Amino acid sequence: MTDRIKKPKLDRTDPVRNWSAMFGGAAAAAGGNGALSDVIARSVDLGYRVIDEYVRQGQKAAEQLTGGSADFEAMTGSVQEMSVRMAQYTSDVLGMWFQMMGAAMAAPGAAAWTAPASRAEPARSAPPAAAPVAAEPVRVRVEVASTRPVEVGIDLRPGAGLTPLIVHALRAVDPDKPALTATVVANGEPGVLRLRVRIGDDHPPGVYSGLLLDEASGLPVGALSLRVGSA
Amino acid sequence: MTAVAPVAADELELVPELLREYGDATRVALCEYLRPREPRRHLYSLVADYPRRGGRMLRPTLCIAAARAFGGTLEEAVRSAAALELLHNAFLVHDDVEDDSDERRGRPTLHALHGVPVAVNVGDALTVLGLRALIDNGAALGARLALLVLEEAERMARESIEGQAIELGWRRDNAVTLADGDYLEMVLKKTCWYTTIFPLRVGALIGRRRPLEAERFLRFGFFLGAAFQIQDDVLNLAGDPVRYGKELGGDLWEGKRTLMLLHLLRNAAPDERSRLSDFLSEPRRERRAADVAWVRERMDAYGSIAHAQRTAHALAGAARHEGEAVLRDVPGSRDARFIAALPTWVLERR
Repeated sequence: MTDRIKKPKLDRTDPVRNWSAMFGGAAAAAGGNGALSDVIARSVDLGYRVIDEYVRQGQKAAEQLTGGSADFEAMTGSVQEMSVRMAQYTSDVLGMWFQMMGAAMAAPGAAAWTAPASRAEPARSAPPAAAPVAAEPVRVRVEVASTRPVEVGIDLRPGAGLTPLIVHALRAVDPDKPALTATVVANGEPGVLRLRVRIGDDHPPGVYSGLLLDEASGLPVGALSLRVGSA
Repeated sequence: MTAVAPVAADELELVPELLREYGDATRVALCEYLRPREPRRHLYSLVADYPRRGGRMLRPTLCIAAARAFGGTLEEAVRSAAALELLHNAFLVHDDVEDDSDERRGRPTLHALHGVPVAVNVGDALTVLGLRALIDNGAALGARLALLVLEEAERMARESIEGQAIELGWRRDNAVTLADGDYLEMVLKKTCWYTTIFPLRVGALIGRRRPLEAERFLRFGFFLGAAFQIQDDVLNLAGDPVRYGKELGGDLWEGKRTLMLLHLLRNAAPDERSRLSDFLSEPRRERRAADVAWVRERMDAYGSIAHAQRTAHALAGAARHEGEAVLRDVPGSRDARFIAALPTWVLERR
């Protein structure tokens, strides 16, 4: 086996803003012209201002897209944009997603779980109890607080839930319907994935879906859908 | 004049080498989408016109090189590369209509040959064929990765269209008080996303087989793409007419807001600025050769072209710097060296 050739690591970890110094050598080589050096420094400075502002606007838009949910804020930047856009188009690609999930679920030891329709108690309730999603060892507990009947569907890849997950906002096909927020509850109980969703009394009925992602890799590992009935 | 650290000659020779190699592979993949079929006369023979006129194949080559540099294969990346080339040609057909350009790659533009309605339809067909190639990605990449590539393509197309809208709006409103920063923002969207950012991001996505960080390649792609575009604008005024492939001075005829034009607008005397503004407010077909020559001469007098060249060099220097950062953890390879050599190469084009 041959050693991999790697470029030497740069000293900096952030963009360098001192452009005059950075290109000083090159500018000097160009004739030591101070005006030229100024143009170069100004141009690069301007370029960084443009791209930094663009990135900032993108981050702001991503936050607005998720409605500033606590879950999203906890997400790492590494999966931010792709994850957000995946959430935005969940409705569009759900068919494709379930097709992929179907293939994953066909693996031995894997089984999808869907809770039956249930009428929850007024105020807070926890209708669907824990249920196995894979042969072992993960159990899923979805706590739904709602005054209306809610049908819960969850698909998980084998082994999903063994590592920390994040849940996207649950969105309806109709973009005018507000998203629901599901949170992963850390209860310290090994082998149990606990999700909590609260549905306001005035939330429009319909089907809401969102992706579950592995927090570390950002890869989708499942999907959660809720069918919210009328009062 | 250079703000870009020198690159060894053999590194620069890599660029045309890979452009040829990966360009040929992309052309083979394109044949599948450009094969003759009915309605041939009114559509498919015209669809194949621009792609067969040649071109450097920079975008597909960059996509394949990035994929290989990050651990993928040519076979995995070539459909995305073909899709990019199809979408690129779709943009060119529509851009030529919107800009009312006369020449593309040394020949009359499609709408000049066949009329605007036919050309617009051909552009639409190229877009749909590009979409087909992205869907076909599923076979080599699997549904999940193909979907992520499709997401990137949607973003790229949206950014490009927004950039084009900004530029068209400037011309429609006869904007004459733009700053260099406005130009760079427009170029980021109109040029950089589909010329550099998208090929790099999709290539890396295919090579790594997992979603990319949100900002990955944005800075490198922006500086590289902006340097490329400014150099392209300079060549439009001062390039070799045969090698450039478009009408020299075409940007002046179109009233395109280039760095040179913005520099001239800022530095010209008040009476000259007024004359320039009047010139820019006229429809393209009513502009006179004498006025175009006058604008070109004023650009020389005020050093506008030199200003743009310096800016291109500065941005290419920043691109080299950012390139080192994005390639830091990539194993050394011909493909990684190709990517690293691009900032210098964009300035070497004639």
